[in-house]
Amino acid sequence: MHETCTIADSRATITASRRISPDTSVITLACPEIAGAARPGNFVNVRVSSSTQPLLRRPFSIHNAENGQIELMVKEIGCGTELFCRTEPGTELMVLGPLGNSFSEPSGTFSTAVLVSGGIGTAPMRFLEKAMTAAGKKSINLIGGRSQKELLSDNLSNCRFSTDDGSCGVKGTVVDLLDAEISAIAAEGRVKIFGCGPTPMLKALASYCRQHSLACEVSLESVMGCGFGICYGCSVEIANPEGGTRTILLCREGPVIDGALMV
Amino acid sequence: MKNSSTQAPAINLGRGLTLKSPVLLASGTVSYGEELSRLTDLSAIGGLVTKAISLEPRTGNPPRRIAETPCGMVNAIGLANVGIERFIADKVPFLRTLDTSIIVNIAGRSIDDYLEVVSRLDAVPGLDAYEINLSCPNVKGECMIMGVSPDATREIVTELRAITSRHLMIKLTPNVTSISSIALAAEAAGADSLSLINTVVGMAVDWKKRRPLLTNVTGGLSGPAIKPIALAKVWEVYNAVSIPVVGMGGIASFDDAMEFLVTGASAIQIGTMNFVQPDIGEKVAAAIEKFFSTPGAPTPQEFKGSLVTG
Repeated sequence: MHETCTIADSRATITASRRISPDTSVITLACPEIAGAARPGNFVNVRVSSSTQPLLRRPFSIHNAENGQIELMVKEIGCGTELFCRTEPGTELMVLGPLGNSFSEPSGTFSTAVLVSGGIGTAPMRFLEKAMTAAGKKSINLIGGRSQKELLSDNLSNCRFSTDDGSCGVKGTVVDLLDAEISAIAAEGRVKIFGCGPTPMLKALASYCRQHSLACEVSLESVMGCGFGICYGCSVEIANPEGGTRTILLCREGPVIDGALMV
Repeated sequence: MKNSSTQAPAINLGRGLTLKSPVLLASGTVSYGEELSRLTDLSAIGGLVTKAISLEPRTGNPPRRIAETPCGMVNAIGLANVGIERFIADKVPFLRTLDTSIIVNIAGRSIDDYLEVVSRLDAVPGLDAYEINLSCPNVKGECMIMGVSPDATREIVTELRAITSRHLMIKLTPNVTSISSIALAAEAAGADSLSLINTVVGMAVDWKKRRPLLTNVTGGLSGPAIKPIALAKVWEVYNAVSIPVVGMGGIASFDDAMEFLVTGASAIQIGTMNFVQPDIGEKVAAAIEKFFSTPGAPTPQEFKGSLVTG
């Protein structure tokens, strides 16, 4: 995991906003400083309104970064995300980033990256897949959701799906899907798992990877205030390698942690 | 005060605490300065107030610790901090490099805790004042007990006054029946200034899950939502005491800051808005400086508390 050192609070213009599902949009913002410094796994904190309602910024993992622009995959889950999805292209917003650490360098000793995501957890996977491809690694996306309409696979390749209701792909969780696929994938070379999604899914994923001795990194989510380490609101408990647990601020020491540290 | 590069008149809060701008950044919203220093010019503001320091390190309350509310947020961080030892070793060296006043916020479980922390900090050069937190609403049975009682406030301020010659700013809670009685007790015991308000006890609830949003159940409400409460408390205290009042509570703009100054505050603190706009202190400080340096403008001293009522 890598720490980010250059953070900018940029005035960014929305250049595009497109719906990819009934409640999810991919929003493109021109912010060259952030796009240039961003690594897969980083996030940004967006001030979706210049007023004080809603007050706090909203954190989003970076879906893609290229040509001086970043893309964010935004699911409407409350007033802030609804406002952001309704904001017209051409509007300027303050965007703070890149924040947090990132997934490990794709130059590791594996040949296949298995990107396991659930729901809006798919958001960082496009950027990660691009980095893997650039480093000559193969990527496979395992994507889970409650039903077909919750599956997000925007611009991802090599996707396999699971749904709780069986409306698409394997019926079951994305960890069931991983279990069904892993022997075939692992037969082709060394594997590393990268996960992002709801905490219960990541716990199940990390536990599966521990049992099967698979290297695994997960990107966690938490309520966030500032996003850069001054509000202490995003504390998360993780395992301490020396025993017991310790509390980290997810915006500084995360969002990516070694799956072995999930508690 | 350290080297001042601005032309603005200094704000003298007494006993060696002279601010080059009336804008301070509030405790619990600046950590120990490093993160903000990368995003804003801290030398442009009057000073920063560190996260509360306690004798021992504290991990704080379990998550979830914050929740957004209308025009504000509730928090129950629970005084997470590195403790006095690591503060002196790891945080003070950076704070000393900042060209602004450094005010150390102190919290404790007992009077002895406060005395111990202050005596250890007194040996550390380069710190300009102590803000005594008698009013954290999120730690059960601790400092809050002192901040709601005039007698307990008088006792702790008297003891602190006896051991330190540094500026003592006492931070007051609005969660009391009569804030001016606490203010008067602190003043009588030797406080140099009073800062107010700390957060207002609040709660956020998810009725569908039938759960409070914060694991601590209640938290401290901050942000623009509390500004009217803060202004009323500043006005009450300003009219009760003769030591300087440092106003805070929901300041999100130059206009908000001016409202506190005209209501009686000698200086102001910006808190929650640092999370939203990291350079807000710098922006508000520049706007205040511009206002007071405009020909024909009142002096800060003339402006302070010049609210016309009746």
